[in-house]
Amino acid sequence: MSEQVSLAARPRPGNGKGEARSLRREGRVPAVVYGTGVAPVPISVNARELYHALHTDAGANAVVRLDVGGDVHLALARELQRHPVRRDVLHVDFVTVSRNVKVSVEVPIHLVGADDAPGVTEGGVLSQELYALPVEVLPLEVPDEVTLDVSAMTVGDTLRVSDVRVPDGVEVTADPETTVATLVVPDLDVPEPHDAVEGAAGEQAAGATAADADADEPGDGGDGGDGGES
Amino acid sequence: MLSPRKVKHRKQHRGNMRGLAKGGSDVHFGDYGLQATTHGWVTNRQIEAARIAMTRYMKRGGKVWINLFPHKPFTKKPAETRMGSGKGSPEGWVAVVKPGRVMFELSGVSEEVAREALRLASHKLPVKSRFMAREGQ
Repeated sequence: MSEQVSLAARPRPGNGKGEARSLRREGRVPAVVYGTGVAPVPISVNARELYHALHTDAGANAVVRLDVGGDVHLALARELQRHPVRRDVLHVDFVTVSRNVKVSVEVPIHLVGADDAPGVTEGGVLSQELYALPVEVLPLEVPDEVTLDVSAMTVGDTLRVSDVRVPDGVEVTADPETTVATLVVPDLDVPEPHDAVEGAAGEQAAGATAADADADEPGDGGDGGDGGES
Repeated sequence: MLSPRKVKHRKQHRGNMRGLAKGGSDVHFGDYGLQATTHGWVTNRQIEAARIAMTRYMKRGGKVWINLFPHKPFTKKPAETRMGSGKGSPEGWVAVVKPGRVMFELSGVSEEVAREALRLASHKLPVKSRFMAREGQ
């Protein structure tokens, strides 16, 4: 079940990138808290505390008890903006929730028994298509994860959302026919994503209007040099 | 090899590679990915070489996603040509890669196999890169 994590927040006076950057230099993360009946308030939280709040068993679905200068809000962290290379959190939205109003969350799907599946021992490849299950549930009853037993899967089998067992009180909003996992025969050959000749021919047709007499065909059209690779 | 079917203009300006990847910086499709940490032009030949290195190592099994496409033509002047006389002729296709871009993704293999396959693939590429797992794994 989703656990409550306390997190202290400070209102931030200004806005803009200058203030946000100075907060990040101090080890804080700019954030905003909003929700039904709550006016949006720009805040900042300690980056280290935020990391620990979002790395409990509940993951990103942990309910945060956000203390903003004495006002305590129950909130869920949403819209985590991360730095593309460093992966640290740049900004986070906290959406306030009510204990008795259902919220939409995505619960991680964990496949169990893959090594025991007859299809896997025969040489099939288990492919997980859906990693998170969209559900509606009360905020304090969000499951940490849902498990799907794949130990009986044979080659060609498909498990769908309707096969996932969820705890009472959890309403699945995804299409029941959506594929969660398949067990497929692996490709024996190294597949070719595109045909080089096709690409070159298309280019020739497109380049005809340019009427450049000196132009060679771009790309790999006249070159069969990679034959040894495949 | 990957190349556009048709293009509006045969030659492009070289452009610049300032900044970081605007999107495609998370592992979306598979379980593991190879993320660029520097910028560069990745040619369609390099993409193909990396793909073959990965699929050969994984032998049977596993699935590969290529999150790059070489949209950009590059040109080259012939050898021993004096400067001037216009732009060179198109020579190939490149994908512009910026830091943060997840270039390849894998699934259906163990982490050790994925690490080694992506390490082999990274040696075919002109950018520095690192191994990355799906968020929450």
